[in-house]
Amino acid sequence: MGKTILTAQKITKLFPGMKALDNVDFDLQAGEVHILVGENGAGKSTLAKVILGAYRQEEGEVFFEGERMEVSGTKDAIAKGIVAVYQEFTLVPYLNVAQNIFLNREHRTKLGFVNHKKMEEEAAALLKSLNCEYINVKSPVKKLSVAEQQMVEIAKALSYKPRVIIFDEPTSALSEREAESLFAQIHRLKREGIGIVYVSHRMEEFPKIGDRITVLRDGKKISTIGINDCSETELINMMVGRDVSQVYVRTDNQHSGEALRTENLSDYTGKVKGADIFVNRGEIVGIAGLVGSGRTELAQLIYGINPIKSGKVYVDGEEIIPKSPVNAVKHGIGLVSEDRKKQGLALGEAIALNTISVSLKKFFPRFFINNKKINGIAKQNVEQLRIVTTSVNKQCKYLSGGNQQKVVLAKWLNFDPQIIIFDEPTRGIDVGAKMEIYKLMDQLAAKGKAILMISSELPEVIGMSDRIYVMHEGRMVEECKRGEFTTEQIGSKMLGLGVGGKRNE
Amino acid sequence: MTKFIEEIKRSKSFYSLLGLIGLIIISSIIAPNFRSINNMITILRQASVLLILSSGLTAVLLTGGMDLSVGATAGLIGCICAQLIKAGVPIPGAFMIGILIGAFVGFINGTLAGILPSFIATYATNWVLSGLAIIVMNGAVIYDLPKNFTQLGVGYVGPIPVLVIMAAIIVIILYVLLQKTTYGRQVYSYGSNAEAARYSGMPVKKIMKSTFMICSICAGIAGMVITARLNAADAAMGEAYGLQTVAAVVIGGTSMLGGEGGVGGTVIGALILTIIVNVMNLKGVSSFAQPMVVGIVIIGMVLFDINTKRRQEKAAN
Amino acid sequence: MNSMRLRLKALPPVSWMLILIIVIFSLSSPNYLSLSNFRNILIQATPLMILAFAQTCIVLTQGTDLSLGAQVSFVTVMIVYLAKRGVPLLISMAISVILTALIGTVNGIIVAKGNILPFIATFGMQNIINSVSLLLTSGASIYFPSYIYRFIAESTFLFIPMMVWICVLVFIMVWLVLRKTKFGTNIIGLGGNREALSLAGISPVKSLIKTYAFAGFIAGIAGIITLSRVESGQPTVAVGWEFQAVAATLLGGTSLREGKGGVTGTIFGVLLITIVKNGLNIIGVRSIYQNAIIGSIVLAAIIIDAVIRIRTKE
Repeated sequence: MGKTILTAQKITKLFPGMKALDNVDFDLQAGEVHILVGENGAGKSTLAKVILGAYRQEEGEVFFEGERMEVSGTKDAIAKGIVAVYQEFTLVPYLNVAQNIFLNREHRTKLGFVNHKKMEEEAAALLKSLNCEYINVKSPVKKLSVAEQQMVEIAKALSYKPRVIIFDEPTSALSEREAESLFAQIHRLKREGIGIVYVSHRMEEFPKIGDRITVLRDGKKISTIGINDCSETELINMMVGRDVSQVYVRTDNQHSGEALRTENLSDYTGKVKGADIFVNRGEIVGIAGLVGSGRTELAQLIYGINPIKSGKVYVDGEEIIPKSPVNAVKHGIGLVSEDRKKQGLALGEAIALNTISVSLKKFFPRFFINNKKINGIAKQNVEQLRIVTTSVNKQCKYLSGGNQQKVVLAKWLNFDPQIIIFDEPTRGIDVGAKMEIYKLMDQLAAKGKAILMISSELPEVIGMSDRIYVMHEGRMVEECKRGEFTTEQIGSKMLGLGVGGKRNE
Repeated sequence: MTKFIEEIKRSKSFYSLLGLIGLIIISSIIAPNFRSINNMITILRQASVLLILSSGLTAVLLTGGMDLSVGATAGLIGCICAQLIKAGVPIPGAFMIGILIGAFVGFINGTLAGILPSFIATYATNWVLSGLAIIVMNGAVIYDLPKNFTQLGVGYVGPIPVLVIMAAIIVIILYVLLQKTTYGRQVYSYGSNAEAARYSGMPVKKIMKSTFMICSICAGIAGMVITARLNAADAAMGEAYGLQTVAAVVIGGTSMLGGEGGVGGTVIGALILTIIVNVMNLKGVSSFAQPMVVGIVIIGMVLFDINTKRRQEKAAN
Repeated sequence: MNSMRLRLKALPPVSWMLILIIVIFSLSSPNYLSLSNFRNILIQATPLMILAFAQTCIVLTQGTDLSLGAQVSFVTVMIVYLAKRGVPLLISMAISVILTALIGTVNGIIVAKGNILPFIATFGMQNIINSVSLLLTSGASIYFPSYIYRFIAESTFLFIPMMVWICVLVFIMVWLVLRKTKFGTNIIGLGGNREALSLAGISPVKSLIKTYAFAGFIAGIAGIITLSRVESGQPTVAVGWEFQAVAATLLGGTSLREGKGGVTGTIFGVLLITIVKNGLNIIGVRSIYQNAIIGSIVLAAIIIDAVIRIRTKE
């Protein structure tokens, strides 16, 4: 292991309503893979963005090869040799692979035109070094699969000849094989003395590539340890911050009768291929699976966002055809969606107006509305859910992630649906708000609601669910009851592997 | 009390209201005949058509859409109405047919806006509708309409023009509909985040289409009123209103991005625009310069809107 | 064989509509399918074609420039205005093209720096420019003859009028810019992923301003061609062309999202619109019906096209 090339000291970064990073130290040595872990909202991506210059920290300093970094924007960071491979792709869909890799660094001919031939040759060479010679460098990236786009993104990062690479959840869209070839590349980069920051929460990967791990929680650094110095359980405890049994509170309650059932459900995109699930009243059912395994798409089918290709949906034993959310809501289904900013809230509108958006007709059956009544309802919500705000008339965009999520929940509580689907209910919110949301889910189940929960966070799924489905490539590959499963079992099922590490068919 | 003032300041129409007051003061100084009661009533009368058109368009803009066909819709329906009356159809009957055609045009616009960006769809229907107006008029002009009909445009109830009363009624109906009903709430929700409105189980397509229908019905009424006022119908009579209508709504503080603003602001916007045109007429400025002034005001207002929004967000962070 | 079928499938729906319309017109009128009419169509299409190339660049950035038609009218007016005051015609032309490039720059600044929706900014600009043209001519059209027009509009090279050759040159220029220059890459990036441009160190604001200026420059050329055909400064000669250019661009397969498309497809879109106009004249449809019919056909074509695209995506 080499000398230290990057140091971040006492970094503090503030977001409206929360401390995203609180006095965090971090260092990276040449030729090492330093893993950053933490739950959603722990501050992993924020730290990565501070190092890259995409965010400006309020306090603290970053040193690169002993020099204080004065970067404003990622451009400067790239010039110094710090690049990132992002989760969201930074590719232009209708430029070809070579054009994307050499964006703003195009080779020119003598006449000043872009030299496509030379760029394509170099791009092909780069991709070959990544074992991706099957990617056509002349193809627009729009035509590539998500995994192929991810490899192009990596090739682009490498083309900058970087000293430090930050990978932000690089395997979340990759297949097993592609992930393995990525790991092989990471090992090669290590040998070349490049420092790698690896942001991830897929623990099964850590021993394969990592050297050291830094655990973040609620914006604070908990610990930095060698990869072989701690067990998975210890890591989880550090991430969650307390004994898991205290975070995930579940009351034992009676499950009475089936509320929701799907039979052989498929969609037109091919993301859901014949999904069979059922949820009883009073039960919390979790769906575990990788990003892209079809979990969200399944929820969207049930809720009428996307059209059903084949299969049936039953509510209380009667078949329904969820043509649109209007329909689903009428049958008492609610969806707390994955992306609260895009799908959950009108950010520019007041809290009060958001909380009644599903239940306008319920509260005001006679067409005319009454602002006093709206504010009254919202005030109750604010008290009950402990939403931190100065007024119910505050616009939602000024709330922290956790409080925004609570407004989404308030919207559904006011409507009082019998079936609630939670899609990534705790993404990007702090631990305090998380625990309150867990408690609320438990209370809802105790009241006899049927709850379907989708989550990428295994501890969350395992901690909250009475029953778990594991989804892989559009199908349910496993179903197990509370207490019958371990993290490892479910983790390998998610990857489509059998118990012995063999592929399941 | 301070809270109340804060509240007003935060609403965007506040700046429009300041603008209107400032404009009235300046106009009274530079054009002495501006202040006469007669001129005031003239301004209200001139503003009436614009008020009817722009209140309707406000509904569309609140959903984040755009209707560039209001001028042609007004022209076409005015022409049809005139032809019907000439052909002996009773006035209330002609009026009802005009409103129904307006609803139909709006339905088409709304349906197309579900397929194409609304400004492109309505730019195209604008073209078709003005072509239809030429066909309806057979290339000619109609005049000398029955007095019962023209009273709509030139008559008085006491000292107040019938036109102003009609505009006031339409403005009040739209204000109540958009501000005080569950429908209005849905329009605003859809405008601030269409995706979230859909996820909240709102009938989003119906909401969007209905705003276009409101807009075109208002355009139809405006077209008939224009015909009554001119005591004539001509295929091109709606043309000039297209730009002014968009301008009035935008000046009134309704955001192009949807979800913000309202009919109250639009009233102020329509008055500001009418006063500007009125003063330009009083000062003898060429009518060719009017589109320029309106164009500058639109761009300036939108820039101002975006920048104040940015500043507010920065201040809040 | 198979690749042939794939290629046919890849053609935008507009090419099928084009064939259908040509068949309908040639069945309705025996002298439709003549060489001289074909030449006519090319000539009629030229100004709109050039303007549509400009619009295509703007649409690729996810914008629309509604001031382009007004810019064409303005150029005819400005050139005549200057020429009447003794400025040599070629210099007036150069000045006018520079002016439209400047107008484009202003459009770009408002759109990019002000961060406002392109259609509303350029809608405002359209009215400002129209006002200027009307004020310069007091609303009339001003006749100004010159042999230079003849050269552009009437002299031929290889049996094809000079203005069509100019159009071909503009096409090659825009095609080269989009395919073979950094600027073109940036235009496609503006429509596809602005974040990616910024991360690569390209300023989206500057690129956007350049694109609008480039479109203004091309509109200036379209204005010169138009003047050569009408031989007078007419403040309303190109009313509505901006929209026909948008329609042609969309029909040609350029999408308002993601920077998809290019200038080649636009040719088909313009031909479709021009052939409809020309055909209606040839089969003798009364002029009062023409606006509504052309408008409906163009609208129908855009809608069919959009619906086909939505369907095939699913």
